[in-house]
Amino acid sequence: MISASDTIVRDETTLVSALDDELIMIDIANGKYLTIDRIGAAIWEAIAQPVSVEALVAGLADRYDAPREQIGEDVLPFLDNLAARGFVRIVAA
Amino acid sequence: MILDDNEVALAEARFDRPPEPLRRFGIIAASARTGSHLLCRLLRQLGRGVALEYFYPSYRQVFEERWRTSSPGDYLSAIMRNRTAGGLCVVKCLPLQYGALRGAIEQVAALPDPFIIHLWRRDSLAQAISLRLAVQSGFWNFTPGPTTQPKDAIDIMDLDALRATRRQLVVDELLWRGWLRESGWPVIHVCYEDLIADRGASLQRLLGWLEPGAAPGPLPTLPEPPTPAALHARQSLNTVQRAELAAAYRAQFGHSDPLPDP
Repeated sequence: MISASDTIVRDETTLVSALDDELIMIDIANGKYLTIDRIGAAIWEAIAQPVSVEALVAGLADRYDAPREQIGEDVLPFLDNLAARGFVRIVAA
Repeated sequence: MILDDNEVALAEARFDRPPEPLRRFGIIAASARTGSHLLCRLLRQLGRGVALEYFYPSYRQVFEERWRTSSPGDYLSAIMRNRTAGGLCVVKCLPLQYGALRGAIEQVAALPDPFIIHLWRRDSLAQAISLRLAVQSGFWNFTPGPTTQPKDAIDIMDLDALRATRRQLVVDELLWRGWLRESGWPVIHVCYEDLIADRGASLQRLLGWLEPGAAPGPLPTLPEPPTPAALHARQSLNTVQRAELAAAYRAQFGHSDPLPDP
């Protein structure tokens, strides 16, 4: 389970391509792919450099002018999903 | 020089070759509508291998029955024994066939000086339109008749379906890029748009890479391949109509940048 103090690190070997307003990410090990929408793409962009979950949520809350709690509820499961597929690593503080 | 354009015919025994020493084994790693038919044709005309989609199931069945092979590795060895030209054996492979090809490669003790020619296309929207038109018409290349069953029910103007096709083609390309990275084999990237724009320059670059010790020289004069317009005439949209469809797609979905160079 991700906590606010964890750091998110993108897997630099992940193969990603833009398709219109989506991002397509490939899991080479099993040949499956994940399509993420423009919000997910914005999160992917925001974690280009390692960033703490807390700072990520704060940044997105500012960007979308939304409460941090609400952003956190959306972002944490998304990050969990990315981590489960090996697209990011969660580094505990 | 093999001039036959019909890949179905190229599976016939008359195109088997007497054994000759194999210097290099290679794969053309392609996705649909990236110019692989053209590149295979050019390499065959230049006497470099008898490039064909040997792991396409229906071709494979024909070969396996004729060559009486007993395992995937045995099949690959038979390809090298029967389909080497100019010291090269070249297998064209699409993503769906890569697992089978890798399985065969793992059963062969050694492949001489292996290489991969990666064919890719920058404009995945034009690629997707081309693929849907080929599936609909059954005309994949300039052959006298369709080589697959035409699918008249396909609505070429269905933009959502076009987007799904485009997405799958981008996935295929990303898979290749991942597999190429994992293969450890030397790779040369050949872009469809460059191949079409300047066939001679693309071939010179490719031959220089395949045969680094060979003296560079002018390419022999090769028969002109059929033009894209000749193929379009057998399908339901001409060049102008394809551009109009692409414009309609962009108006609905926007259009991301072309695929980045590998």
